[in-house]
Amino acid sequence: MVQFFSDVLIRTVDLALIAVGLSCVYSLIRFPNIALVQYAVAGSFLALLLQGAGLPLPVAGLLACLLVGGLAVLLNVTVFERLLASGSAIAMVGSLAVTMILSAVFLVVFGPDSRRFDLDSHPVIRVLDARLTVHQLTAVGLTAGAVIVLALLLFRTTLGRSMRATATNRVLAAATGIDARLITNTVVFLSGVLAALGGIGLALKGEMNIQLGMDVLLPVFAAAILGGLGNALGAVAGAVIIATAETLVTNVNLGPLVGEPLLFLPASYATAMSFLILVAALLVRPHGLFVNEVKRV
Amino acid sequence: MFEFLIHVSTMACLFGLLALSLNLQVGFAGLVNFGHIALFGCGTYGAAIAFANQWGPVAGLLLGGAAAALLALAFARLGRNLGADYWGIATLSIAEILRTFATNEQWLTGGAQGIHGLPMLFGSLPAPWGPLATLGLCAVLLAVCWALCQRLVNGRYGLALKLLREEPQLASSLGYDLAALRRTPLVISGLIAAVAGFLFAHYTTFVGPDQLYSAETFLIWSMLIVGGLGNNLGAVAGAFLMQFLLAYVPFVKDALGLPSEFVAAMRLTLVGGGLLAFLLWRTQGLIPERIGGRHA
Amino acid sequence: MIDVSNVRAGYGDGADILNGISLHAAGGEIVTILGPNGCGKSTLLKCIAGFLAPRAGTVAIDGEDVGAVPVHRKVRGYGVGFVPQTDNVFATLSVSENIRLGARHLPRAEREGRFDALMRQYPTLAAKQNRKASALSGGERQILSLVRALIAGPKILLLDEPSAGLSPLMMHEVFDAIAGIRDDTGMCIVMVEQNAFEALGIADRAYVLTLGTVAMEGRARDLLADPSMRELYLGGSVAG
Repeated sequence: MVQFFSDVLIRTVDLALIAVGLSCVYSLIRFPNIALVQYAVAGSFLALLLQGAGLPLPVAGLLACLLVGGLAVLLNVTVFERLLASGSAIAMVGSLAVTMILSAVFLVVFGPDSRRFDLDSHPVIRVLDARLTVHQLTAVGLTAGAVIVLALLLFRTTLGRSMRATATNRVLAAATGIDARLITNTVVFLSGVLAALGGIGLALKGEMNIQLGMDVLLPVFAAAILGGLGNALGAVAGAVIIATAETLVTNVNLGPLVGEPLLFLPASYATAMSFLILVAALLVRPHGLFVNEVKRV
Repeated sequence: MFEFLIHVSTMACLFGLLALSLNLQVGFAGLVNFGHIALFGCGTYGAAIAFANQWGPVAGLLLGGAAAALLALAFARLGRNLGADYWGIATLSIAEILRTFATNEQWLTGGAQGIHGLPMLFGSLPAPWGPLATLGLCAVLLAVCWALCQRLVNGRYGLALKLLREEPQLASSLGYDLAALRRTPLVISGLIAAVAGFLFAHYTTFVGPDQLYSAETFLIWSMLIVGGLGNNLGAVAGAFLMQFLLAYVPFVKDALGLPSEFVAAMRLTLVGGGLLAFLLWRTQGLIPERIGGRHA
Repeated sequence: MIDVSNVRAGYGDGADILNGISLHAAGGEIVTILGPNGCGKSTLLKCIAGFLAPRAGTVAIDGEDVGAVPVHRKVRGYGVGFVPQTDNVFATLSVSENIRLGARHLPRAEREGRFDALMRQYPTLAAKQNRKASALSGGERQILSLVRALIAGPKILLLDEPSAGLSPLMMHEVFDAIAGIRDDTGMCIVMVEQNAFEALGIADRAYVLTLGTVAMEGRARDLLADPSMRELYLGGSVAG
């Protein structure tokens, strides 16, 4: 039972930061940016490169996050701002194109094989009845820390209030003296940092490969949409729900239903489950499970 | 080389059919479908399941068509409350669910290995007549579908579709039933995609879930954007251009002595780069849409 | 203070909405811009505010050409306050957060001082300061929006249809507040209004627009008495 909860926790952590990044930035850029998951991959690969160049992992990770944040702003200013003038659907198709180009870059620079961080291997520790590695716990800690820092930023600082204001009502924000474009790009930078951190967390717990981004694309979207796009903390709740559904689907013994002792759904149905939840969410409550101010879906 | 050219041309015709069908949705009705490959998959798996159960190819065609029509209706129903970009995500999700289903349900679809050994079109004819006949059939069907799409789009129906795309609120205030307007291009589009799938299955003699990755839908998108959205001729032109470009990538790799990762990377760059370049700098594509259609 | 000279403007690639408008507004007066729907009055206000740059002509504040200055810089650097029509509060933020955002560039002590002063002046708002702005009524939101603009201590206040969507009673309250602001602070107030009769009641001068040009201008009380004005906008023989 405790193992179940720890599995859910680990899966939540896989998705949470990228989903939060997606949710935060959506209310400012007004289109779903598919390339965000590639920022996660970029973060992990950059951190790997920097560690290989001799930097200790925490420094490499931090630097990688900042660089990816910068990349996100660069892409926003050169590509997405222009595409948005033609509408959010065109911008989304454009983000798809960027995703493909980034995949090509990763393929050429890093190759198709999986890589790992250069980590000391630690024994598995037992927390209550569950088995966790130190690296998994580190990822959990990183995620929790990042979410707390983000919440403090959003709700306790003037910058955060300006971000929330601009997300709620861009025209009024300008009328209040807020430079909406600057605030938007600040949030774009943050979303890149969060995604990169999420990617590093993913890589810490296992391997990283170039397919990682596309693998989490739909579950991350599902989490962000469930939580309500624009509701950063809601995205964390959305990640919990998706993680729970996925873990349930593969852990529930359906045997008794069909008269056999053991029958489990194959692992790939776990992700199919999150897609199903996503479609159901879009049909039934497109604004997310919590009362939310982003009006259009 | 001759056989290779025939092969690429046949594939180009099939992708031309897929591009035409996606264009009906995107270019004319403004429906941003990221799960289009699933409609194609209805055609391929219809043929494969009919073959596996020995129901005969005609049954396969009918099965594929029916499945595609049903799926298209499901897509249309989704579109009632969703904005264009969200509908894209929803359709992508559904296509992925179907692909996962096809990968796992061995009893029905052959699982990850798929189904082999389908009878080849014109298989009894000696080479090169067999492949040529196939190419001929595909080309004829492409022409027929093009004509069909042109008629659909240039008549009153086409104008209604354009209105749906540009001013949906105006369309509904003029009394157009938006839901029906959305259903029809989707269903027709699905049927065309299913026919393409059927032909593909009986040409390559193999059907598997790897043919249903979302990357294939994105490839068709690039064909539309490069060729020109909302333009049937552009869709076909884009299909031919992209298909030929992609087919020659391995030759470029060999000529320049590059490693094999290059092939996949080059394909991604061509598709993604082409998409982006045309979106940023030449949004009307290679063959621009004629505003006002043929009435002007 | 504000000088608009022969301005032409429009949105995107569209046609000109303003076809050569000239306007002048000085400190300590309320200038109201009137006219039928589609005449360009909101566009003119947005042009002055900086949401839209003029295609021809100049918008000047205290003699300086500010046509190319975007809104957020006009607010910070030129003492302009803008209150949009309807959707004019941050619904997800609390009343006090809304107000304080207006003064976030000021040092904390000054901001708090102004906040306290405004709360004393508008006690109904003060009572609801920790509630979300979405919980306020239409009239209260209008006052909140005004206060948010006022805390920055602007010298120019631009109001886009302040009476929109309000009951007659609320409208009087809002207009009284606006008149009070002019009397107490000597601000230059430019107000676009649909409600011609009421607006002329508190304004000093007025411009009437049609199809992007100035059809009539003059002192408010002269316009109130003008027969063609009465005919067109004030409902025939309503006594002034």
